[in-house]
Amino acid sequence: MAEGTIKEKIRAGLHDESARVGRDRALGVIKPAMKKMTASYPDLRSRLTAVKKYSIDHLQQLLPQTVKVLRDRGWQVLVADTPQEALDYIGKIVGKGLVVKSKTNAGKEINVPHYLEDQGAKVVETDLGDRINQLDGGVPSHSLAPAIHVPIERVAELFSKEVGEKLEPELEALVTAARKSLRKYLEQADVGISGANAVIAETGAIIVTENEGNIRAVTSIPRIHIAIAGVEKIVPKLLDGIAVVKAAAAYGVGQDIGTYVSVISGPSRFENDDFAFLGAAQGPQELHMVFLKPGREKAIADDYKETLYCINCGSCLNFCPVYSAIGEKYGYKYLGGRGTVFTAMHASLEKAEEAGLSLCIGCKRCEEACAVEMQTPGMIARLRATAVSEKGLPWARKTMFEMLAANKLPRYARLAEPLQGIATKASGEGTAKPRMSLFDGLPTDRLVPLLAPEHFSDLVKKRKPATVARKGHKVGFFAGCLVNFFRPDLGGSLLDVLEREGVEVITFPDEACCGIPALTSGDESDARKMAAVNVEMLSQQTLDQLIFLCPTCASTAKREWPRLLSQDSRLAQAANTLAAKVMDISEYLVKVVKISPPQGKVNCKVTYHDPCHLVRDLKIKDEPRQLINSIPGVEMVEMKEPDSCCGFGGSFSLFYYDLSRKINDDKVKQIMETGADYVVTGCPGCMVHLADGISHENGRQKPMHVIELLAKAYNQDGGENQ
Amino acid sequence: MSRRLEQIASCRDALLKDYPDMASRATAIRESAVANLPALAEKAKQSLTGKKCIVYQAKDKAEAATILRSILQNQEQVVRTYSKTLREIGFDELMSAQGTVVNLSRIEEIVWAGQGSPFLGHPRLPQWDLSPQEIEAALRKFVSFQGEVSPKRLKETVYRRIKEDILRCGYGITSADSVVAENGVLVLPEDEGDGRAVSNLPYHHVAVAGLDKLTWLAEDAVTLAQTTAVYGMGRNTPNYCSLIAGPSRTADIEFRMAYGMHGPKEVHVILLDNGRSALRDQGLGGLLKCIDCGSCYSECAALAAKCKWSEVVLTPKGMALGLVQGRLAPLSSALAMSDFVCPVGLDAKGVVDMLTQVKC
Repeated sequence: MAEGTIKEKIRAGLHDESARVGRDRALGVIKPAMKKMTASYPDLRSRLTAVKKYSIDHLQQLLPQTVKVLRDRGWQVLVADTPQEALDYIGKIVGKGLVVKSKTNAGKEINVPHYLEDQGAKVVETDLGDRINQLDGGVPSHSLAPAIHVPIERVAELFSKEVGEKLEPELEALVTAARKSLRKYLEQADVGISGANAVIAETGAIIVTENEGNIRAVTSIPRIHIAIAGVEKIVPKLLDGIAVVKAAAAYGVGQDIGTYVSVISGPSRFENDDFAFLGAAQGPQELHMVFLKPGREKAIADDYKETLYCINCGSCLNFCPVYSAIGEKYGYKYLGGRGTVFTAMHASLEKAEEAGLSLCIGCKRCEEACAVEMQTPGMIARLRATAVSEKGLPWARKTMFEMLAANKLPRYARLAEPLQGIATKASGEGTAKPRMSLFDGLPTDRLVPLLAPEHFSDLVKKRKPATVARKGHKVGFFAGCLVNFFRPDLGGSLLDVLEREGVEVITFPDEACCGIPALTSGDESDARKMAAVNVEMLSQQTLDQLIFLCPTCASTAKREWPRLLSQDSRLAQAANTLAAKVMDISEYLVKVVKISPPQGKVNCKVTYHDPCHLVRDLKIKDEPRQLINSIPGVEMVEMKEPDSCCGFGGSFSLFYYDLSRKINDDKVKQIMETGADYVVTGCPGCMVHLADGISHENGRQKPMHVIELLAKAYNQDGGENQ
Repeated sequence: MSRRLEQIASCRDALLKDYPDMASRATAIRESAVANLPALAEKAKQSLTGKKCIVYQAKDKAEAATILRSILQNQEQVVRTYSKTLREIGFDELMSAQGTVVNLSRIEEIVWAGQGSPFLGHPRLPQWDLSPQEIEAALRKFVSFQGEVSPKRLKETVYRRIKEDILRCGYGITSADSVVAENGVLVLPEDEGDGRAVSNLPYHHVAVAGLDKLTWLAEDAVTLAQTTAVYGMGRNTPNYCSLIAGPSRTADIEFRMAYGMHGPKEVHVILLDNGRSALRDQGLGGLLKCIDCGSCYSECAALAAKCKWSEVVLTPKGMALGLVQGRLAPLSSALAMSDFVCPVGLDAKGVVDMLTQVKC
């Protein structure tokens, strides 16, 4: 079962300290460089996206056109419909010869090195990182710096054995030794195998980029050169290829261009036709292009064509919290979330599940970082839904989601609340730890929020009716499960602030769960039921705006409810109308209410954590900061990466708690470094997880919602508060 | 020769139907480069240095010689590609004077050297109308082969000999078709592939490029390489185009940067003035727009006829440089050029006017 494999992978990934150290070191350099470089080339991404979109949309015409031009230029071309076709073709050329190889994802996809070695050929990796792993018997731990986890002492051991003399663990000496040793293989090789960053239809060329010079060597010294690439690498023009390599450098490693970019348009030839009878000159005389088709057509046919825009730059991996935690265990051949999507295309949905289809936490940092604006989390969600519709859900999850869909949570919450003391041990301030670990997601050292004795709907009933209403300011407030059952005081703070401004707030005691837990597990049908209940209920009211404290519920209402109900003739329109009115409380206060700053002082130092759904889904990051900075007495200090994921992911933290904790660790470290009193954020979910993480580090920072801090300030206008 | 030039012209004209904007783009690129030459040079120096190249500026042939002597003084042998710029500064003679053997890497040049009287006047094809026998004879001389041998075996022997030279030498010398100011990239388009080998395999790479090669963007350089292929050879691309941004590097061991992994550990770039600024100062920068594609030869019989005996390249830029450096005698007013097809907007009358004004 895929889940067992996944748990194993997570465990192995989390325990691989040396890989993690290597990754951290690389990412520590790459991420700031990438941010700086991509900012200096603002048009690069839109240009590249347009090129890739066009290329995939016209692949049907571009492929035969490219094959023809390649052949006219002297390439021998195979378009392989199956991996075996490609392997047979390459195997026949290589025989038992010596092959020197540079990086090729397509070659890895079909296991070229193993196939060739099985038939008696010798394959030597020429990229230094790949060669280190080859000698070490290890696997690549990073897409661009694959041996970063190997300490220099081990590298010295490996090359000492290889060259037959003792080498010191000294960088220069080892690079020199590696160069000499690999140069020998390059000189003797019969065949060079490379990939291609892009294949140019206009001129029948491949374009390759690198920093070491090994691709230049592999594609120029041996007399036979085989290039392997998926058909999605085809782009129309030579300058499009330049855009691809520039983007790969900027987004992948933060360089303005790779040290070498090589355009190869055919076997070596002479300028003067008089010399043509000699054949090839100083480069390869036989050039083969092996195109891979498997999976690409499926991607286009099943509407996953976006995943074919990928240029394999690795930018997504640089920012993915899951990859940061468990490295190459996330994915299969192609790494990370995009890797799992592509695996579903070129291998199978089962393989994609084993590769970690369920591990995407949905933070969308990959979307932000992607050179071609791919919306990978959306594709992952669709694949999960397909998996569930084909195979169903484990019964525990199914039961949970059915319960939510039938809106039984309020009743169960009331039943469970008085019994919490049996199952948990209180830790103060509405939190507790489980007395026994009933399953992985709730270990005894996990700090969880307690169910509140009164639900938000109870608090609302007790409140004095609000006075004067401002015209055009009648809003609905959708509280969401965390506020309704665990932190109704947050809803209270929101009502305090809005009522002060004369806004008429309608609340909904019969809210169902917004549906996101079911959705992230691929259970569309239960999510649809919840959407229907909520849309039906909300559209009974005429509202100017629909306000949220929880950006996860907000983005679900905005994006998913219309999608889920698009076929519902009765509710589709209502869902769309509501979606247009969705607003986060910070945005509403700043943009619509134009709230004036509080008079009351709150003396404290705070830092702000951007929740994923708020900053990347709803695109709100300035308004919360504006509100915080408007409070007298508050000193606001930014943490290193305010918009990195906290690791909660809702149900993710239940299913994959260890991973969730690991991601949280990085965040908590940043928060504690600021020396703040509070970590303010815009999401109750983040608050739960941050409280847990901070308690483990014995930190003193208290999570607080923006609305909490605001209410504190407004509630004592004219006074001071600590 | 004229038959070949006609073929090139007709291929060129057919291709230009697919590339209607090529001339206007090339013209804009060259005009901007010439107009901003000092700023370009400054930026290029910065970018090249930023990419860890060792950058020199040579005012003239003598300074270039001093610089090259300082880099190559201890070398028994070097290997070089074919380059007009290296010829301009007398590279071979300089090396010979210090006892350094110069190995050639380009088979076409090896054949010219073997033939005895190359047409140096053409920017791209110094040898014309050679029969296979003549070519084989020259190659046989190169590898000192006596007796019967198949062309295939002869070529393989030549190829292996060149490869050995390249692998043995510590210094590979090339020029560059473009030097990109934006990011310190050298652009080397070619067909044979020896340029890739010479600039990649030896431990050190030395590139000599005139200031006329400077351009702002990598995309401009690639556009010019394609333009040269279309206009000069009637093909829509050079066979290879290599972009080189400094020495080879790797961070694969513990993410610590090291140089010289597979490619050169050091890249020396000599930016050569030798009259280019003077041409600009004389208001004749228009001649520097020329990209040496050789398209003008297809229409202008005079050029085609003269290039057989000319030491100096007879493109508008070649002639301008020859005149300002004193390598070409001042042109008589009887110089007649027919109208030609030019990618950078030069015309016969304009070129002749400007050339007659060039002061040495």
